[in-house]
Amino acid sequence: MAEELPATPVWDETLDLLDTAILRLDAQHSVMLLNSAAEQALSVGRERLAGRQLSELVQVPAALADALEQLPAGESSVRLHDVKLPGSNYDCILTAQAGGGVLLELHNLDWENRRSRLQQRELQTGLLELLARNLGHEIRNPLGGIRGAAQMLAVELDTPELATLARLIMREADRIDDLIQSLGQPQMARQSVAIYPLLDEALGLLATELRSDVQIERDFDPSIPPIQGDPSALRQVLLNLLRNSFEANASCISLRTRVEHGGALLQTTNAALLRLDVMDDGDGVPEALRQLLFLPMVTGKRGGTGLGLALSQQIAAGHGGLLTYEPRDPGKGSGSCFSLYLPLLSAQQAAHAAGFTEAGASA
Amino acid sequence: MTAPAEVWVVDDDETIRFVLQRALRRSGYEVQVFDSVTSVTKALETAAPQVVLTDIRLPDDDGLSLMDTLQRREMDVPVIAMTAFSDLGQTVTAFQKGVFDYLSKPFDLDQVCRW
Repeated sequence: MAEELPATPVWDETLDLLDTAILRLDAQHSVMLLNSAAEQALSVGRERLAGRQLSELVQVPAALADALEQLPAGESSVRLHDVKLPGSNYDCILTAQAGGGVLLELHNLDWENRRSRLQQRELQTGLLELLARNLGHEIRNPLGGIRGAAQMLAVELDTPELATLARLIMREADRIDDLIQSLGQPQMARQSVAIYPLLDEALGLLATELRSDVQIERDFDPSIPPIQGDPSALRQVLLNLLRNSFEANASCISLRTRVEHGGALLQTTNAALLRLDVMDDGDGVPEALRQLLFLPMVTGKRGGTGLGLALSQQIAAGHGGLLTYEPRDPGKGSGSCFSLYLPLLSAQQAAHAAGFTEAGASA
Repeated sequence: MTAPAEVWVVDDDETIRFVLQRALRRSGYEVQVFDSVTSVTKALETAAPQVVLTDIRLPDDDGLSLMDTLQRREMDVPVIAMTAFSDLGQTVTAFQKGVFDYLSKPFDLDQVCRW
């Protein structure tokens, strides 16, 4: 019971910065202490949790309940793999505490998966940059020769029609060069960006392409603070995602925003993330393409360049974020869900950024 | 009487050498071409150009190493570097080393012949 524990338990606020959910239970498995990540995992506020039995608050799976019952006294630990709690699956570590309590750690497996996907993407991006750089060099050298020779021809040919052909070769060489340049890393600005006006803008730009029967659903978290980023680059990402949905014959596109915790997975110091889901009921991505989806030149669309998603991923990465794909309905294989994760400014950073903006506006 | 300015072109790509030689000759320059740092360094022992137009990535050495060779020989010859890398870092390095100008491949021949 609560009175068996110290009246003022020592709680280190740094525990709230962890993305691992941590709960301290007493011998009766009442919740004594929990960090922010645990509140998030159990979807219950701290004030409602304290002192109540874990089983009152959440459906405790049998494996976890058994482990809690049977945990030997002393400083021993038990690890349970893949325990299902509402919302997510977790690896649980139970450590017996002196006095009969238990320290319970919940490691979100979705985050672990996302973390490994992120590492995979980083590897892909790194390889791509290397490839683009070296391949670019190898292509631009002969391109220099082709363009130069064509330019000589354009000058030396006496027949105007033939000179036109030579200039055509030059122009096409320039096109290839532009393409190579576009594969390089885009330069991005850093400023405070509100996401909803940006979404409206992207939808506005697409209004002319939009079939009138396409329905747009919005499920927005109104409390989302601004993010730090490049508005035109982010608008490009939103345009790419929305346009992909339209072109996949979607009749309904759902936009959903949420705040998620677990900033460490994006390797930034921000604890909170904006998650924007763009979901549709369109054709979906064929299974064979899913692993390759974010690589350049990969496309399932007739006439597609295969650069949209690769560029979008690069822009997300440039913001310390990530773009992921899941089929909306894995069973049927139709419909898409693209999720864009971007780090949110902490309250302190946001205030700082706002201060800058106001100072800038009044100056 | 003034002799036409002599330009040395250093590039391992045969087409580039051919095109630059032809374009520069048309514009009234004397042109000699080289395919490596070694061959141009050897030629510098007995002659001197008015301008060197060199690729940066050459099979035997960095084309910018010619800057050091010219300096050692106290030859005041402007060097124009060419590269197929659109790399800001490399551009900065080239200018820090004292190149006269920097040419990104593929280049415009009019621009090359304007110097």
